[in-house]
Amino acid sequence: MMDIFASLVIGLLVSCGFYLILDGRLQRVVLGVLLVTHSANLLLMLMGRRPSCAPPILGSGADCYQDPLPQALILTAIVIGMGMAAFVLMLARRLREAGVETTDDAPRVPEDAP
Amino acid sequence: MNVLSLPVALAFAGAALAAALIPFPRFQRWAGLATLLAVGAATAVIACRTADGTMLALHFGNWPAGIAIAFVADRLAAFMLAASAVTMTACYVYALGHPAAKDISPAFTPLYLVMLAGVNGCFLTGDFFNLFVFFEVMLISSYGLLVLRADKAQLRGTLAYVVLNLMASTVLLVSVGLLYGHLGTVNMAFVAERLAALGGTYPPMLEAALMFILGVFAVKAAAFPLCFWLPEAYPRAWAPVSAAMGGLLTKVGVYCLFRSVPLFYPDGGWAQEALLYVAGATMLVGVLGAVAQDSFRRVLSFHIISQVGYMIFGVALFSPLAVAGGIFHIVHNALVKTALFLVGGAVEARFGTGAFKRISGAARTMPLMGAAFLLAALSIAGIPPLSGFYGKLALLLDAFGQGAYVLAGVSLVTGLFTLMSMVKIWDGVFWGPFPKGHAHGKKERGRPGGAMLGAGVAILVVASLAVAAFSGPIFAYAREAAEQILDVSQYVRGVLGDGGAP
Repeated sequence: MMDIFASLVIGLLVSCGFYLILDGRLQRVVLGVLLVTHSANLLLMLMGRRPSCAPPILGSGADCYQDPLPQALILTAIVIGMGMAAFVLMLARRLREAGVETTDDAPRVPEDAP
Repeated sequence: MNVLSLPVALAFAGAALAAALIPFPRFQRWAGLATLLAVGAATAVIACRTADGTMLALHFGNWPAGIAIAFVADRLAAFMLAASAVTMTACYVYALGHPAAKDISPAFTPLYLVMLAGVNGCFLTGDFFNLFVFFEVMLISSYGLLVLRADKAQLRGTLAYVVLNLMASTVLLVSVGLLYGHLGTVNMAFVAERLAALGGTYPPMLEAALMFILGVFAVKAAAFPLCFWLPEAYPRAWAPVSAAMGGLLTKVGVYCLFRSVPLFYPDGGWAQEALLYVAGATMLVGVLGAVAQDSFRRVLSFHIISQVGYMIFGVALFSPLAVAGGIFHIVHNALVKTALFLVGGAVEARFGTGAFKRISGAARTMPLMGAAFLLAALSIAGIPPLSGFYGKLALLLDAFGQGAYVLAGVSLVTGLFTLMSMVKIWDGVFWGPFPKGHAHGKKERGRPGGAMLGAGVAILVVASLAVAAFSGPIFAYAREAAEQILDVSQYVRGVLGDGGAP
């Protein structure tokens, strides 16, 4: 039950994310990118989950433990995602300062600009 | 310290040092150059040790094989490391001599070395999650490098590049997670072993994960239909940056395809058939795009796409001869394509533009650059004595042998169009009278950086001539590398068995 609910939430987040990216306004593109990367982390978490198992602490006397590896992968992915988010935000700011509001605003690469 | 970690560790250490030396640009340049040479030396050692077919494996922290994070080097990885060392060094030398080097942000050297670490990490890593991490290392530095001298159009191209690559990386992350969920490992050798145990038919979710992973590599390689980010992002970046990226970054995606397809589908499977179509479309779309462009580095950017098509053609035919042709083509292309980009950058620095209608007669002021361009252009078009010919010959022989006549025809037509667009550049840029209103080249000759510009191009052109001169032994090496990657059990034994280094 929990899994189905979580999958639906992830699906919703991903579709919202892609909707925002395709919208083209810069802030929305940035938000969309963040939503999609975070829902990927959630998805990883869900895939590594073992229902009704104890936290991965040895000696707590449980029959089975959660697999800690997906959580380690997610931690790495979150750190990378943070770096990317910082870069995309900065890029969006530079584009705004250059007078670009949406991804359709800026000229395509001109052929003969100096 | 094991030599396998050095191409990555040295590059990271050099990047940290270069970042600390930002207040001292002179020392920073020397630190950058020293790092590149040290990485080159480590690469040479790895190449010597793997040349006889030994599989080097390093398990970090002495954990047992399969649990430890692994670095693996075989002939193919060593070959790619060598190509990356030569092209990255040449581009760096060129960057030091570029007229705009003084105005460029001091962050250039650290970012450049981090990109080197990421590229080398992708070649060496032995597990899929670290492949994702090294992709990100390579990409985040490339984002920084792309906006070093950004105008509006470049910023927009970069945004497209960043968003597309972030989405591709996210898909890779999710598929690696799926792979872990099904097989309980992300170690490449273990993955291959457990897939083999499934006996050829995979459950649907696993098949989807493999499909997505290969798809992401195809995006990074700029294969059709996801290739149009490339000509938006590369052509207007700073010349040495766009040369290093044009020469190397797409090849990382291609390398991953060469590595993963045999691991996932030891007998080719659907991937082989799908890649045949992708290869044909990539070749044709890339070269038709190139013919339609009318500025120097834009033509070259579309050419990257069509050349990637040739490489994928190699892995799609999936026989030792064709894969060897593909590997040979990757290395040839890394050298020659980078040289072409560097010449393009030098011409643009001299004339202030890359548009054909505003340049002519460059051969009069830059005769040596013109000669370098001619050699590289004929080589990329596959004219016989030069290095581009041998890879294509092997591909064609094998395509005819396997009866893939349509694709063989497509690749021949692509070669013709390649020659045509190179002639277009030659005609538009180097031939003809010198335009009025430009100071004749006297001022340029006295400039101290000119020799460094020339040296960067010369390294690559000489390397590509050497590849042509020693094409026999080098092709034999590529052939052995191809047999090694196609024989998956050898990879599995090399990593998991007792073949590893202590």
